[in-house]
Amino acid sequence: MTALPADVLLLLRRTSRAQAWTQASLWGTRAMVVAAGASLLWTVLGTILSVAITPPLVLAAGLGGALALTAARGLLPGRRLAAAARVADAQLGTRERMSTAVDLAAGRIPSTALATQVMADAAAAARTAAIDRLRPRAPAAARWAAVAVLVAAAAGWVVPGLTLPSTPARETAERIRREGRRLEQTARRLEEEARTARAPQARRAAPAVQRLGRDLQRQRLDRAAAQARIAALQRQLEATRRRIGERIGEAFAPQARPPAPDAFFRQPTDLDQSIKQLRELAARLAQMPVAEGERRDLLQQLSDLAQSGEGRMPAAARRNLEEVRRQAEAGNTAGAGEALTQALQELEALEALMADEQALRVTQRELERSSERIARGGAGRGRSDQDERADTPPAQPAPGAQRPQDQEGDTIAAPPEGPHQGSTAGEGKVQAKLGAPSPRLEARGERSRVRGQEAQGQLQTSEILGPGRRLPARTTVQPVAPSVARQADAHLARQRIPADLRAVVRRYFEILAGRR
Amino acid sequence: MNPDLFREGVARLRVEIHKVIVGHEALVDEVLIALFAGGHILLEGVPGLGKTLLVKTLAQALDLRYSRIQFTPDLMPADIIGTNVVMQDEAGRRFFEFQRGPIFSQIVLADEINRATPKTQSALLEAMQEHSVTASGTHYDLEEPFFVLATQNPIEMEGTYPLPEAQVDRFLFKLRVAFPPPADLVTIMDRTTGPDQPAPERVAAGATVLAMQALAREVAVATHVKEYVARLVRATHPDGEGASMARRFVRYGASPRGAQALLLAAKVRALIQGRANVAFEDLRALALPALRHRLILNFEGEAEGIDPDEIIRNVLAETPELAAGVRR
Repeated sequence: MTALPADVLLLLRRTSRAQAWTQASLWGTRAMVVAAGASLLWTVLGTILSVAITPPLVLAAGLGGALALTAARGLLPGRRLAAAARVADAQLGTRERMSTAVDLAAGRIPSTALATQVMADAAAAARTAAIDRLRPRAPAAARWAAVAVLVAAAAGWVVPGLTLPSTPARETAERIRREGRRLEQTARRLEEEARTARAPQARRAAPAVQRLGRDLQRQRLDRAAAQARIAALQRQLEATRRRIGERIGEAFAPQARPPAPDAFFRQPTDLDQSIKQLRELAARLAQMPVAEGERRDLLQQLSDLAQSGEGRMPAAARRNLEEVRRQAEAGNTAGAGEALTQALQELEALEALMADEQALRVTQRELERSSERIARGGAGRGRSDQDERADTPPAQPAPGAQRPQDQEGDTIAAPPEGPHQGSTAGEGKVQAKLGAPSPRLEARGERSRVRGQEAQGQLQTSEILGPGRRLPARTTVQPVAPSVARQADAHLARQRIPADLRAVVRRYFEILAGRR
Repeated sequence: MNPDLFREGVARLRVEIHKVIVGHEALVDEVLIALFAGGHILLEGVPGLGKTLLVKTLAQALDLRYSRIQFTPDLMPADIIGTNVVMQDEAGRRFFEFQRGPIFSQIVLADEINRATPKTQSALLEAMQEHSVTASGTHYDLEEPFFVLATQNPIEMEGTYPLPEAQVDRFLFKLRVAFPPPADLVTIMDRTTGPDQPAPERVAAGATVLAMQALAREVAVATHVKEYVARLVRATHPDGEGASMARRFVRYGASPRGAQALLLAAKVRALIQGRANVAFEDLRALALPALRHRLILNFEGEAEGIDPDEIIRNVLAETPELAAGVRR
């Protein structure tokens, strides 16, 4: 067996690398065509079904896979020298010198007297070969593959959002538009109430929500795109809310923070009460000097308020209250009033922050609900409308609006959860339970039927004995004709009725016939 | 003998032949290839194209014994092989002595071979294949190298006997002698009508020819090249693996002897080209002379006058150099 010359080996390794990349480009081309086909198929599917992944994503993933496949194939050159030799012979025109040399070296063909000459020829040919010709060649189909990818990309850009009638995709598109309307309404309400509650951050967030709602209605967004837009706004709101939360946390002990209600701008009762009390105290201080008894009462109230405010009132506000008490004790009414005003401002600023935070939290929840509904996709039209009505937060009625009368058979919409929902006897303080008007009391009645669902499990029945209903007979009583009575007698006689029972049977029929 | 000497010898021989033969470069090369492959040649061409002259010139350039047999319908096998004749010694006793025929040469020109009867044509069978003859139960080896060059006229078919398949198959090549182009024709006239007739010099002896034949057999052939030869020959058959024209017009394709002939001739060509290995181009270049006489056309092929060369070209076109599934 003769060893391959170094020049031949070097050439074959280069050939092998070039061939690996040529092969890799072929694989990559095929993978590109497959990716383009999959993307096109996905695009068409998107007009029928509501698909979660967008066609451009499918195309991008496919092209990424093709690239990875190409790189993997290119970086792992084949180890078969024979194949490389054949390629070198074909591409460099070495007239089978390389493959013959490789076959001789591998012992695939018997060695001859000219084996040395074969190796020398191959080495000389390898030295003089035009290695530039060994560059990886792009397959002829690469151009068509590129066209296919462009077509798929164009289709993935243009087609998504177009839906065929009466398909799940169309229902999802309608669902997205409905959610857009709902978010727009939410944004309007948020803006109105933010203005009333003087919540600046919530007011700033309202236009973004409104813009999203409009986009959802007007733009042809598929499910994934709509969810992505909602998620982006959610992230934005979350960042704002977190900043506000940090500021509140600086003023408030975290455990004392009230739970978030499911409505915009419903201030926590403790804070609200504290502000009310401070306002009353400010009014009383304005009337100083007062009688000694009233002054002691005022001081006592200030002391109680400062003590009870621990944990539910900012420390700065409580310090101001202490200052008010000291100033009041010292008879410095002006100083006490100034300290009280500062405490009030502290609390009102905190109130605005909390209002902002709650509004953003509720808005986020609305966005989340919209995203979930879009993710669930389109349902039947009737159900969708019902969902929309049920999901839309009830509009706040005007103060003093009368609660609609309950009617028999009507189901009143359940009030949203919140701090004023019900109370437990013996717990809490009465003043804490009273507060802002409960939305339950002012909830708008709505006729709707609740559909039951058959439960699973054992079915138990029991027989109840009792008098039946008195109902008029359906057939009128008629006298039995004698001929019929005779026939009955004859039948009785013919039937094989035991003699001792014959009288019983006769009596039964006589009762029926009304003879007795 | 080494490849360089081989090439040098062939080149000198070519020069000497071309002193007499004008043009026909490919023909001369193919004759030399057949000579060094140890095969016989069937030369086909109309009269006057220099077939006989070519063989005579070759014999003159080689230091080999040459004989010419003019085949005629009344030629008998004994006229070729030889016969036992009654002889008388000095004592007056008679005995049979084998009188060697013209086959006992090293270069035999079987002129117009298709004019003899098949019986006489068959007298060449053993000589061509075995390089020996048997007469009256006695076996006689022919002197090496032994080279038969037969000629036949493809046009004048009256009174001829087409060569049997077994006979045709024993020829390494069937070469077609084409009409020379005008320029060559002018040179031919100049050379043959002048006062001096050019004569070739002897440039190689029998031993040299044998050494060159032995060297040709040492040429290496890659596995996939041999597989290509096998697929080429297989593609001349009318069965499933055959090329499209072969399936339509061929009754029987080339025999295994065809594959041997093609490969052996390709080895010689490789040496002449300065290679120690066979390339695909050698096979493509020699497929026509090596295979054209081995195809037996079917009725449709005969009726449509299909040239076997067309079929072989179709075979070459439809047979990939690498088998399906073999990676480059």
